[in-house]
Amino acid sequence: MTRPKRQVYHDPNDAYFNEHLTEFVKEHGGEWVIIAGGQLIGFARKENISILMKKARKMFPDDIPLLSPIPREEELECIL
Amino acid sequence: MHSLIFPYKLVDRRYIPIIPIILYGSLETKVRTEAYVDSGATFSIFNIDIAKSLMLNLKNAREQFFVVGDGSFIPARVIKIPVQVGNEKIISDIAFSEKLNIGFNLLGRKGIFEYFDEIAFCEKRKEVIFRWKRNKR
Repeated sequence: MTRPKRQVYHDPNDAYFNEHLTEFVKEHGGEWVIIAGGQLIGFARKENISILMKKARKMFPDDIPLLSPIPREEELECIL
Repeated sequence: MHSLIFPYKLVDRRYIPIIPIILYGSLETKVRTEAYVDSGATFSIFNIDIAKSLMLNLKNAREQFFVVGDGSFIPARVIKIPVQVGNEKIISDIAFSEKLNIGFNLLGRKGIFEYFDEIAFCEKRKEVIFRWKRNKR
């Protein structure tokens, strides 16, 4: 009988997002964040996402950049 | 049974089941993004800016309207693309909408939840667990 395999997901970009999410929400709610290579590339309004994504892909060509919307504080108050 | 565990994300004393997933687009483009695991959502809906970053052509994608929390309908384009949850890569219908005016992408049941044997929300340990049997893969 094989033992069940439990694995906690870990990715450096996700870890950075997780660690700074409260600060992102407070200071950049409604914007987008781009993280690659385990480091912050920058914040963008929707019209500037492609510029930062290009930068992330150029800086870390072997990584899959994290692109995520940042919720606003009020959106966290009442999620259905 | 295999289990992949995603700890809830902590935002200002609130724990939220947001998990990272990878979406695949055209020309081998990949984007990692965060999505709210929403057992109440039928479909997975993502902000259309993700589709743009994936260089997806949505012109021929199926148009569908989705009812949102306030009872209104939002239009979206539904397309089948590869999606990766942990190490599990699956092909799933994903909707992209420019009217999803919330700071979350939503990961719903169709195509995602139904691929796994079990998805559990453990509120005591603040984690969401995706489980599947080895012989299914």
